[in-house]
Amino acid sequence: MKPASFRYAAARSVTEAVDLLSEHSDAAKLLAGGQSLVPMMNLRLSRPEILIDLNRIPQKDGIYVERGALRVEMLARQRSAERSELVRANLPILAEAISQIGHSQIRSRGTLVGSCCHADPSAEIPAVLAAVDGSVRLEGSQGLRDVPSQDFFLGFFQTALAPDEVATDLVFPLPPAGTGASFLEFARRHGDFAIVGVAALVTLGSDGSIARAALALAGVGPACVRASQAEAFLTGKRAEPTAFAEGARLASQEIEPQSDVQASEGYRRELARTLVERALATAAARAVREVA
Amino acid sequence: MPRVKTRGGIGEDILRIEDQRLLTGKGRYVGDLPLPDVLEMAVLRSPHAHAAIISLEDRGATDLPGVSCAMGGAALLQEAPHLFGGVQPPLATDEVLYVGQGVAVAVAEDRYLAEDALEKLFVRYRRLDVLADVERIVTQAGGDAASHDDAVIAFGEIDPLFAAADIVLEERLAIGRATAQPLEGRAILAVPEGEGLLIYAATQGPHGMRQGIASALSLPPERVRVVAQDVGGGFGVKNGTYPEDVLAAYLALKLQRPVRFQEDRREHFLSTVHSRAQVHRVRLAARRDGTLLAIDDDMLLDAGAYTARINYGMATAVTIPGPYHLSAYRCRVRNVKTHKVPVGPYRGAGRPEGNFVMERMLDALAERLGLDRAEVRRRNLIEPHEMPYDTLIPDRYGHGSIVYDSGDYPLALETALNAADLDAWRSRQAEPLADGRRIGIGIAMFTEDTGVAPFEMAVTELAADGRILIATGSPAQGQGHETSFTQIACSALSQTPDEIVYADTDTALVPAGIGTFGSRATVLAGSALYLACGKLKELLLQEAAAVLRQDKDLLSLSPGRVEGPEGSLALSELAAQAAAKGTPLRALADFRPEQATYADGCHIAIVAVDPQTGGVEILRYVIVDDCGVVISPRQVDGQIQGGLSYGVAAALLEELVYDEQGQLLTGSFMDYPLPTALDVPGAEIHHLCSPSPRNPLGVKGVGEGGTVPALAAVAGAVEDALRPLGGGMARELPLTPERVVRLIADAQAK
Amino acid sequence: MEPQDRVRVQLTVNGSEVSRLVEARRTLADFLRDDLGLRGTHTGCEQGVCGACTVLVDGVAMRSCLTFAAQLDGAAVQTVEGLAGDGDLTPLQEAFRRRHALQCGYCTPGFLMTATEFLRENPSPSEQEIRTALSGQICRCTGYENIVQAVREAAGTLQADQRRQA
Repeated sequence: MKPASFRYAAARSVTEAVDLLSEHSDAAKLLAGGQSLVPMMNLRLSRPEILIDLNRIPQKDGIYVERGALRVEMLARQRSAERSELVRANLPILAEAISQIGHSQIRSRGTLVGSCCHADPSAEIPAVLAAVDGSVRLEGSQGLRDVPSQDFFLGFFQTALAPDEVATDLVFPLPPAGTGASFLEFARRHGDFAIVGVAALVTLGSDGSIARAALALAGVGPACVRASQAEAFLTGKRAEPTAFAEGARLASQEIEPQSDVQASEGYRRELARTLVERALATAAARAVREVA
Repeated sequence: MPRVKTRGGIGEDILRIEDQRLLTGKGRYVGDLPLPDVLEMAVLRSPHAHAAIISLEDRGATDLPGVSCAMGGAALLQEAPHLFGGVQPPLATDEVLYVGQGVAVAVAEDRYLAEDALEKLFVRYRRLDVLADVERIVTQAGGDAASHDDAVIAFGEIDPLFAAADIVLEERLAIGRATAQPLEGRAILAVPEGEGLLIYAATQGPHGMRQGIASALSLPPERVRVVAQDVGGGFGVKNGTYPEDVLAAYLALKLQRPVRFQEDRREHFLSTVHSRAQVHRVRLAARRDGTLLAIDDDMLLDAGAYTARINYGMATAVTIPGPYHLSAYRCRVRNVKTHKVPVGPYRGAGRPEGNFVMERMLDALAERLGLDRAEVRRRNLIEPHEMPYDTLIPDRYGHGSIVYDSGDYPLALETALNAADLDAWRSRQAEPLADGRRIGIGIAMFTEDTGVAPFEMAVTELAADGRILIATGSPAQGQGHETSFTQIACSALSQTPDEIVYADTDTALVPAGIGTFGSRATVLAGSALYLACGKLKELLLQEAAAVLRQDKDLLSLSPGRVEGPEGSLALSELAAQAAAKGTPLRALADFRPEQATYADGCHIAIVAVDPQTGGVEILRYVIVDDCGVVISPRQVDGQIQGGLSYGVAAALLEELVYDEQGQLLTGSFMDYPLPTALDVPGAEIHHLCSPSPRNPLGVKGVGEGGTVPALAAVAGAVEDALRPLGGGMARELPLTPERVVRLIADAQAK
Repeated sequence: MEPQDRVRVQLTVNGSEVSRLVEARRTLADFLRDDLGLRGTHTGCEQGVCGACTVLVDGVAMRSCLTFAAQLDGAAVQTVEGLAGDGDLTPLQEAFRRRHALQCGYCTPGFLMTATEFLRENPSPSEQEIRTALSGQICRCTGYENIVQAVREAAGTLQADQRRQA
């Protein structure tokens, strides 16, 4: 398990990375945390001719709250975000989700942007991004663009990134006041990729009913998905167990999970129902606290 | 049994001697040995489970800079046909029988270059039919022809007992295919020396490897020297001679350069023997009062390609009866060939599976009769006054029947029940926990043959500096022989650890040996060492008596000295005199017991199960273990706790899943979940001591006892937790979360 | 900049300056083991799962099998050889020895590096925190219990517990 030969270039700026990508297009790969790419390279399943190391780009590891959103730059490590006061105060579900990724040694290297670009359908960060209707900021030879999450995650390890584009930021719009959120996943062991993961946000209205619900699921299809029928059902309902149970049932019906060696389609559906129900209950309880 | 107490002797809780180097990065594992001119080897492996090799084309592999040699099986066969005499060829030539079988080899200045060379070798295959499912294979016409090493282990008249029994239970039980995964893969470094080879190997049995390599290379065994230094875990699979061992040895001789093969993780999944992989159709006959009458088992073992390296199905067969009275027993063992990695022994080597069958059936009997699980066991246990107890189970080596040597099984059970505080746990079972989880309790007892035949040898010698060198044929792969064998020598020779020098296991030092597996090293090599120390003591006292001109019977050993009533002598002086005379003071002992020793014990698992997700948490784990006399207390507990992690893994986590095309779907640490610190509970360990009368130390083996009953204890606990919700019997391992959830769904569907 | 086959790196390893021209594809693990002869760092899976190869880079525990040496220009690397140097065992190593927290020893360097970082950040952890922190390290021999207890002991939490109970 030794990687095939490649040439190495440490980009000093995003522009330089874009230029290198433009020049070498399909032959090049970007390296950020490397926690998903390098195992593939060691197995020679991924064999870029050029490896463009982004880690030397200065001033690109920040986490900011601006214009009602949390913005995470391309080199911000998962462990920094997990511990960030800014994240914990403004979007605690993100920290909660990250704490369930791999292990601390993986999170110290792995980036949030890299996780989204890798687009593993069972990954945590894409699910949170999808749940808050976030977007990915891309920079390429044609300029900048912001791609909403539903247009970014195209399928199994597939994204909207063009061959000459670098993802520079994730933008997570902050949920309105009165929102509680919960990220729950079930995996064989702590740190494993989720069999099913759920990001749930519940916003309570002044009358205590559900003003808005957002549910994004990981591990139940080729990319993370929103359970829109369940969300529509929940909107306007009282935040109580029967509503959560029915919402969970609907969510488990509208997803299209696949069977694989980890779990059957039927088990994934049942697990999704269980986790959605629990995540909704937790999110709603947190929303109540938020309102109080 | 030794009675002399010395500092660092038998039973004393001393710190391990090997730890200093291992903690500071100074271990001497095969991959760590610095050699400037070593070549690294890599093997091209079949991507197909069963295929004909049409052609192999070298498109520039040997032309790459740094590559010394790259060749396929056919070329090797032409060049060195003598290498192909064994059961499995070093490389496939015309047909591959499993995904991962070697088809070509390359050696180069480093492993990167060797892997580059493999990419320049192009193999064309024609795919052939794949045999993957053992039950389907044997039910197909002519299916019996697919099995080999068939055997029946039996005693008593089965059929009349079943005909007359009040209760007859029949179940299908299955244990998934598993792999050992020591963190150091297999490793061998073959160094050409004179007309032969010096081999450093990560092996559990250097003498067996010497024989295997010498025979494959048509060399006299004395031209092959095998040394085992630090080995990064073995667990049964680093034994015997693998195809890569033969390749590395051959290429080292051919190229006259040291050649190293360091197996990587992917290769370990695809080429090191797998294990377990059993399906049982078992019937149990009993009386209404819970008295066991007979067991009738039909076992299919998914043996993979080639012959099982050791027929561990036989170990399963002799383990099933366990600590219970049985009037009749029959077990049919069939090894079924499939197009998968060959199987071999692994932590427990068939015993955990056998224990699982018996203990699960006892739980089923308890369920049927509405009896407490402990009570069913209590009513059937062999009593201490019956020891030695002739089980009537035929010894699988053909030496008559198995006779248990010692043990107090009822005491083991009651000790475990008391320690686990079961009443308190049972009272919590009526209602779910606040988070909806249910509590379950599992009990499993075991007996295990440890220290199996046929022999081990040990050598002791007064070294030039007056210290005492000890050597055996059983190397350590984590068991800490450097410490435990030193303790044996300290007791036998009244020395302290500072006077003992533990030698690497080296075929040049000890004339013959078997190795470390089957919980046998301390029993056999430890006993041989004890005997060799006794002989050396005689020699030392005799020589000292001559030098001191004192009566030998009045002399005794003390650390570094021989003491007498009229003066003493340093062992270093004795060594100097021996050197001057040219007669080394050296003793060899050969220990050949007639029967194995039988360790026993009881495990109790208490778990919490989430009936919706199928998640299982082990809340408490109690172990009562009787391995006779304990040499190194902390290491005995370490073996038990470590063994437990294998049992938990087999019960809940690890399984090699193949598809119908013979492709391994769980071939990496990403999808073959080894237990982590969050998965293995810290066990509460209690000891009983029933010394074995079958060796001079009174010891029994302990390396596997932590594993053997854990599968059944954990599975029984999970099943118990879900019974109030209508859950059925846990019949198949591992109990993945999905299988746990299905215990309820399947039972309700019936 | 032009992509290169070989990269010049200057870094410190266990406090010593090292300057080498490395092949771009060489992992940090192989660089340490084969180029620098620091073979205490072991590889177990080369996939980032088992943690045997864990070292500290600028004080942060990371998988040396998933890091290329070429990336480390200017970095400070610490390996198991750098814990005690030629002096006494560190309290953590001492605790591993006292608690019998190793058997074959192959995974031990990775555990030591991870636990070194962990205890620096969390000097008085709970047992659950220790187990979580160690869950990215695989040990096949010990069943973990003694490793957990060794880290507890090193943290001094055991002694504190005992003082509280006394």
